[in-house]
Amino acid sequence: MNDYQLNHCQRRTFLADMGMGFTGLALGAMLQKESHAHEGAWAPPTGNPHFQPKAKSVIWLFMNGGVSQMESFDPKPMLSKYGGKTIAETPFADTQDPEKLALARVSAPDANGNQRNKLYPLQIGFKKHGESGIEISDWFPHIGKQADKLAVVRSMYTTDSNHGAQTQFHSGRHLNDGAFPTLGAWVHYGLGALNENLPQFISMGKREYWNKRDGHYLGPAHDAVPMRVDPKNPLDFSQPEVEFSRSAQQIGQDLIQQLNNHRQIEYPRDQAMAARIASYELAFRMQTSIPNIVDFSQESAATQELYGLNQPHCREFGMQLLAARRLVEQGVRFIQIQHGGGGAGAWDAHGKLKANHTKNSLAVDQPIGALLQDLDQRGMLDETLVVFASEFGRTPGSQGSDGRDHHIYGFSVWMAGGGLKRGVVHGATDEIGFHAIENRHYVTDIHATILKQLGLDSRKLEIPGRKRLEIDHGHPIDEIIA
Amino acid sequence: MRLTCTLCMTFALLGVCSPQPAFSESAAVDYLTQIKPLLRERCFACHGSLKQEAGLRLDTVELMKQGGDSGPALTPEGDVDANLIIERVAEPDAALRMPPEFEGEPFSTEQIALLKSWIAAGAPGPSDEEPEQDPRQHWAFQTVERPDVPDVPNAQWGRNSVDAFIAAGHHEHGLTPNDEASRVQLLRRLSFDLIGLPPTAEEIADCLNDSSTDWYEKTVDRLLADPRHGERWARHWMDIWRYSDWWGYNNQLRNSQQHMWHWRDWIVESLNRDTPYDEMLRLMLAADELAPGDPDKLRATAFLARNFYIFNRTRWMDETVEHVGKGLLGLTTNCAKCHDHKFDPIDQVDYYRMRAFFEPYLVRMDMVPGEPDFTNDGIPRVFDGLPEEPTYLHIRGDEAQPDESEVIAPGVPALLEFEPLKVEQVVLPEVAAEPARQPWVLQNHIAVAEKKLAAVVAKQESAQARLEKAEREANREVEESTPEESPGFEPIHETFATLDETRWKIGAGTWSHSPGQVQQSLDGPQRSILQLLQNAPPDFEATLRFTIQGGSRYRSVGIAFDGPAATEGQTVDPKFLVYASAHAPGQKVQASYDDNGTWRYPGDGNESVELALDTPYTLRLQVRGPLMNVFLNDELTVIWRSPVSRAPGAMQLVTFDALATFQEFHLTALPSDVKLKTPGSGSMEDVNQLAEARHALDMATARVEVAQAELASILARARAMESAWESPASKQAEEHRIEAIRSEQRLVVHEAAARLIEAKFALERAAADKRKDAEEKFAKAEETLAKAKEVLKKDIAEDATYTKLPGAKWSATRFQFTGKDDPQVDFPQTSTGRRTALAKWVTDHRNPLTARVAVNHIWTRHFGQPLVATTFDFGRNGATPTHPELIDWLAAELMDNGWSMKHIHRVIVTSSTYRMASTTAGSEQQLAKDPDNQYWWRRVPIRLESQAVRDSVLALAGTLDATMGGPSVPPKDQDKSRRRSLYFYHSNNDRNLLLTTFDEASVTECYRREQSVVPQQALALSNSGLVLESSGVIAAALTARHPDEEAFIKQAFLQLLGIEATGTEIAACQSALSAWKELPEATDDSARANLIWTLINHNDFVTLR
Repeated sequence: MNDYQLNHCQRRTFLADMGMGFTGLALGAMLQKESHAHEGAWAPPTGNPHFQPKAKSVIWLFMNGGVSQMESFDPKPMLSKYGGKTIAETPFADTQDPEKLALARVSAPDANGNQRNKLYPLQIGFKKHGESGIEISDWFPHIGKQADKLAVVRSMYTTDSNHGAQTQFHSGRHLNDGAFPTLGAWVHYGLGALNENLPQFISMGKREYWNKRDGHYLGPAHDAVPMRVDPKNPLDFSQPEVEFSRSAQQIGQDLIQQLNNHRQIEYPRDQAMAARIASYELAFRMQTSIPNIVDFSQESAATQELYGLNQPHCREFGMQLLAARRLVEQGVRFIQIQHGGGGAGAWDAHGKLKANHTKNSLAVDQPIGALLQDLDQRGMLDETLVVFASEFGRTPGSQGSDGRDHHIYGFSVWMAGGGLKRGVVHGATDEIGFHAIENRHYVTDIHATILKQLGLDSRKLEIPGRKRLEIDHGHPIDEIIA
Repeated sequence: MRLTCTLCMTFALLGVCSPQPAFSESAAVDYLTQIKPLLRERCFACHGSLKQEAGLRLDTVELMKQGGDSGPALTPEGDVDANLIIERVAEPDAALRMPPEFEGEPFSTEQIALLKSWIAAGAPGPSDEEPEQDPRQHWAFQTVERPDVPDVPNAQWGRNSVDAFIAAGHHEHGLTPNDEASRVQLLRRLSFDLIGLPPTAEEIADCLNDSSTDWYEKTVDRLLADPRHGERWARHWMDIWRYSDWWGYNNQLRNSQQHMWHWRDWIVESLNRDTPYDEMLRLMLAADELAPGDPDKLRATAFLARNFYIFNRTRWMDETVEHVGKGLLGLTTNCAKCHDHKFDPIDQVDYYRMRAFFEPYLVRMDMVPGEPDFTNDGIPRVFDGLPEEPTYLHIRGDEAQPDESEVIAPGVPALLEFEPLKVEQVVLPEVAAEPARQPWVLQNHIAVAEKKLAAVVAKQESAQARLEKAEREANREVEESTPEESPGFEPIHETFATLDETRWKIGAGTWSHSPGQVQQSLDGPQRSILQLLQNAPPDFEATLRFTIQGGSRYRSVGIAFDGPAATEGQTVDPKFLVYASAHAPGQKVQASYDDNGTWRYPGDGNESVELALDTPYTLRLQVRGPLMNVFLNDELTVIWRSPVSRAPGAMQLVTFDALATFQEFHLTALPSDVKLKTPGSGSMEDVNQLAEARHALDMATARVEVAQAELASILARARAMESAWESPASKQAEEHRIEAIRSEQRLVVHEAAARLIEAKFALERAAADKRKDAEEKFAKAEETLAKAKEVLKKDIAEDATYTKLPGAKWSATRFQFTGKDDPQVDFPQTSTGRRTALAKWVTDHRNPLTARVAVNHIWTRHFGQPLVATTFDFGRNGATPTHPELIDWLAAELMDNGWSMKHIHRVIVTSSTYRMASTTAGSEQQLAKDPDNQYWWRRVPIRLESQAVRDSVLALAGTLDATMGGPSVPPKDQDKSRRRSLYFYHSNNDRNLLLTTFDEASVTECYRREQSVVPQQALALSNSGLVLESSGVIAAALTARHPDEEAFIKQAFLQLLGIEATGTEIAACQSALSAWKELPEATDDSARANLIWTLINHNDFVTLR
C-alpha cells in the first residue's frame, strides 16, 4: 500500500462511525480533515471500542420525577421507628451538619432547597430477595424476583435539587450550565453500528422537562431517534404523509439509486453521495424494520403476558420494554426509555406518595422484572446493560402530611447485566437514607461504568475545543464490575 | 494492498469492521509521539512559550536539560527517579505535585512509567527540535497587512487576486485546477449561494441563451441586488450570532426575549443595504450608546438581549463573553473562566475583564408605534442598568467564590491591546432615559384608553337594554323544577395538592401538575380533558376555580357533564358543556349541548362577561333537571333551560384552545332546598332578575365613569409629561403636574365608587352566614371611597408626582430566587460607555482578528470548506490556515473597501477558484497529491442547509410565500406556512421537524452547519407531505411548458438538479415513467409527479455542486 492509499484508508475509516449512519461525515470529518493544528493530536472515533468491551447494548430506564430510595431499593426501618419525630430529636441529628449539606447548589428558584425534617415512616414493607438477600420494597415484587441479577448502588448523590437534575443525570451538567451531550449521544458517537437496518440510539416515552436533544455539540446526528410503540406511526416520517402506493414508491426508489449511481461516474469519490445511496437503502429498510420491531404478534403469548401487555396498568411500559429487547436483539446500541414524562415527572410525589408510588410501580415493576428474566433466559443479559435510575431521591422527612420532597444527598440506582456482578449491593446511606456515606458516587460514575463496559474511554472521545472536566468523565464503579 | 484498503472501507461502511488492536503496546518509547504530546497537554501551558513558571521550559529535550530555577529538570545520565521531572510528577503530596492541583490531572502510573523508561533509555529526542513559537508571533495575533499578490505562471487560469493565491498553491504542489463547471451548474451554484433559492426556468433559459461575455458578472450583480440575498445571508449570520426566539418552561420566558424577529429583520435589511460589517458589529454591541434614539438601529442590540437568562447572571455573562469571543474574534476566551488559558495569552483575569464590559447591561422592551401591549410587540434592546455593578474574579470559576478584594475593570488581553482602552461615559439623549418621549408612546396610551372607554360604553348600552327586557318580563310566571332524588353523594373537594389519579383520568391535552394546581399547556383548537372517574350526581352544584393564561383563540374553560358512564382508561363525550371563554372580543359564559352530533351554542345560554387573562375566576354551576344557573365569581350570569333531555353521568373539566390552570374544584349533590332561577322568571326568593339587571346597569355605568376618568387621567398625564419636557419648571408645567396628580386621584375615587356598588350588591344578596363578611367589605369600601375623596381636598405636595406613562418595559430578572421579579431597575440618563469602547476595539483596523474571522466565515459559506477549519478559534490551539496569505488579503480587502461584505462576495464568486467543477473523474493525480483538496484544485460539493432544502421545494412548486419580515411563524402554523424557513420560530425548545432533520442550527452554538447524511433525511424527503404535494405541482407546471416526455425530463433535471441529463439518465427515467403508468389508477400526470418526487430525492437535489 502506498502512502496515499494508507492515509486515505485510515482517514476514511471514520465511516465506520455509522451510528444512525455516516455521521462521521459531519463533525468528525470536518474537524479531522481540516484540523492540522498538531500532529496526531486528535482523530474522530473509528467506531471501534478502545478496549475489549463486555457489553454491546444499553437499556436505560429513567423514572422522571425522582423515586423514593427508602421505599424502593434502600429500605430504612429507622424511618418508621422515628416517624413523626424531627431529625434533631433522633440519634441521627448529625445528618443536618451544615457542612454535610453544603453539597447543594442553588441554581433555580424552583429548587426545593428546604430540608424536610420530620421523619416520614416507610409507606411500604420490604423483603429480602433471592440468594443475595437484597432488600427491596414490596412495591417492586417482580424486580425482587430478579434480585440476584442486580447490582444496586445505594450511595448516589447529585448537586441540584430541582428537576434540571434530569439533564444532569444524562449529561453530567445541570440545565443551568448549558447544553451538553448525553450519555447515549457519547455512546452513539463512539461506537459503530451493529445493524445496518436500524438507528443505533433510540428514545421512547415522554421527555418534557429536560432538553429533548442529545447530541448538542457532537451534532444533531447523535440525537436519539424518537420511536413510538404505535405500529402505525412508530417514527417521524416513517410513512408517506400523502397517499403514495408502495409499488410506485418502489419504482422511485430503484430509480433514485440508479440515477445516483450514474452520477458516480462524474463524482467517483464523492463520499457524501456514497453515504446518501447507503442512507436511502437504510431508510427504505427502516420503513419495514421499525414497524417490525413493534409488531408484538411475533412474540409468544407467554412473552406478551410476561411483560404485562394484557394488563392496562403496565401495558404501555411493557410494550416499550419488549420493543427494547427486540431492538437489542437487532443490535441497537442505546435505548433510552423515560417513564412518567409530562411536567416534572410522574414520580414527583410531593404529596400522596403512597398512591403515587403504588401506581407508578405497578406500571413499571412487572415489565422490568420481565425484561431481566427474558434477557437472561435468552442469554442476552451478559451483553446488555440495564440501568434503572431517576434524577434524585426523596427526602426521609415528610413534605406536607403525606409526601416527600426532592433529595440529592443520597439515592439509589441499579444496573444489571453487561458484565457487572450479579446480586450485589454497593455503597450505603446512613440509617435514615439521608446521606450517601459509603462509596459515594456522583451521577457521572454511572456513565463511566457504562462506558467502561462498552469498551469506551470517554477521554478519547473528547473533541477539540471541548475539554471536559474530571467530574464530567466520572469514575467507573469497579467494585460492581465482574 | 489496495484490495485490503477497499475491503476495509467496505466493511467500515457496513459497520462491521473488527476492533483494531489499537490498545497493544510497543516496547521502545518514542519521544515525539508518546512523551511530547503528554508534556504538551499537561506542562507546556506553564512551562513553554506561553509562560515559564520557575524559569523552566519543557518544550524541547534541550530546554528540559537546561532546566530552571531549581536546576535541570532532566538528568538522564543519573538515577531515573532522581530526575526532577519524575520527582515532581510522581510526588504523592498534592501540594507539591505537578501539575498543581486544579490545573490539570496528575500523571497516571502508566504515564510516569512511560516517562521513566524514556529517561532510562537516555531521553532521546530529535537533534533539530525547535522550541515552541512565541505566542506573540502567532499568525492570527499579527495586525493584518495586505500581502503582495503572488505572480504565478498559470496566469491565464486566474481571474482575480483570489486565484493568484490559489494558483500559487497549485504551482507549488504540481496541481492542475479543474475546468469550469457547466453554465447551468454555475447558475444554480450562484443562485443558492447568493439568494438561497434555485434559479427559475426563465433564469435558466436566459442564462443558456446569453451569448455575452459578461453573463456571469451580470448574474452576480442581479443576485447581489436581490432582496432575497439579505434573507439568505442573514440566516448564515444568525447561526454565528446565535439568533433565538424566546424559550422557557411552559409560559415562563427564561431565555432570550419576545419579538426577537426585529433583530432578524435588521440583519436582513442591513445585508441588503450592504451596511459595513464593522458598523453592524458596533451596533450589535453598543447601539444603545452609539445610536440611542434610533429604534431601527437599537434592534441590533438584540445580539446581546438574546443572552438574557432569567435566573442566573453568571450564565448570562458567560454566554456573552464566550460567544463575543468565539463569534466575532475567533478567541476561546471562555477557557480562561476557571484558570489561565492553556494555549493563548489570556489570563483568568482577562476573562473577567471581558465580562466587565457587559456587567452593567440589562434588557428592556421599547414600545413601538401602534402597539402599547409589550406582549404583542416591542423592540428588545439592551441598556446599562447596573452601572455600578462590580465585576469580581471567580476563584476557579466558581460563582460562589468571588474574589471581592478587587473590582475588575473592563479590558482586553494585553497582547491584543494596540492602544490603551478608553472607556468614556456616554450621556444619553432624553428619550433613552424616558422612552415615553418617543412621539408614538403617548398616542398609544391614549388610544388604548379610548378603546377601553368605547367598550364599556357598549356594555352600558346592553345593560340598559337588559334592564328594560327584565322590566318587561317582570310579570311572567315562576317555573319550578322538581328536585331529583340524589342518593348520598360524598361531596368532592379537590385542591389539587396532588393530581390524584384515583380520582382523575387525564385525557387529551398536555396536563402537568404542581402542588395546588393542574396546568393545561396544549395550545390549539381542541378539547383537553380531565375526567372525573366517578359519575356526578343527577342534580349537582359544581364549582371550579381556574385561571386562563392564554391560548391562540378561544381560550375556553369549563365543566362538561352528562357523559356516558365513565369507564376506566378512556374519556367519554359528554352531552353538555358550560364554559367561560376569554376569547376577545366576545368574552362570555356559555352553556352548550350536543344535539345529536351537532354542538349548539344557544343565544339564551350565553352572557357577555369581562374575563381577563392571568386572573383567577370561579365558575359555579347549579343544575337541576334541564335547568341550569351559572355563576361567574358568584355573580349569576346565565340562566338556561336545556331543550334536550339530561342523561346524568360522567363529568369533565375541559379546556378548549386555552392554556389554563385549575386551582380548586368542588362537586356536591344540589341540596333540594336550593331554588334555581328559571329563564324569564320575574321573581325570586333571594335574588331577583330585575334587581340584578339594575345592578348590572349600575356597575356598567360605574365602569364607564372609571374608563372616562382613566382616559382623562391619561390625557392629563400625557400633557403633564409633555409640558415637563418642553418647558420644565414653567408655570404651565406646574399646573399640568397638579392636574395629572388630581386626575389620578379622581380615577381612584371612581374606582372606589365602583367597588362600593359591587360591595353593596354583594351585601344585599349575601346569605345569612356570609353577611358579616359582606358587611365588613362594604364598610371597608365605604371607607376607601371616603379616603379617596379626602385626598382630593388636600393640597398637593411640592415633590408629589404622578404615574408616568411608560415607553419601555424592563425585562425583569429573577436572580434573587425570591420567586418574584427582582426590584425594578431604572433607565439611566448615562451609559458606561464600556461596550462602545469594546466595539471600537473590535472593529479597529489594528485588531488582528475581526476581519480575518469574518472573511473566513464568508469563505466557508461560499465554498463549504474554511480557510481556518476552527472557525471559532484562531488561537494557538486552532487550526493552521491552509492559505494564510489569502485570508490576510481578503481581510485587508474587506477593511480597505469600507468593510463591504457584498464586495467580498463579488470578489469570491467571480474568481476562477469559485467557478471550478467539483468532479473527481480522471483526477487520480490530483487526488494522490492532495486528497483533501487543501490547495483547491477542485470545488467541494456542499449539502444544502436545512432552510435551503425546504425553501427550494416551495420555490420550485411556485408556492413560496415571498413576504419578508415580521413576527416568527409559530410551530403550530409551520405545517401550513409557505413562508421562507428563515421566518420560522426557532428556539432551543421549538424547532421545525423537517428542518431539524437537515442539521438545523443549534441556537446555543453554530459556527458551522453540520452536513450529515442520515436515513431520517431520506425518510423526510420521501414521505413528507410537503415533498409529496409539491411534486405534483412542479410536474404540472413543467408539463404545461414541456408536454413532450423527453423535454419534460430534460427540463426537470435542469431545474431541480442543475444537470443536463445524459442519454442513460433519460432512458432510465423513461423506463420508470412507463412502469409507473402501468400501475393501477396511474395517469401520465401521476407518473410525472412520481418522477419529480424521485428527483427531489436525488443526491444532487440537496447538493450544491
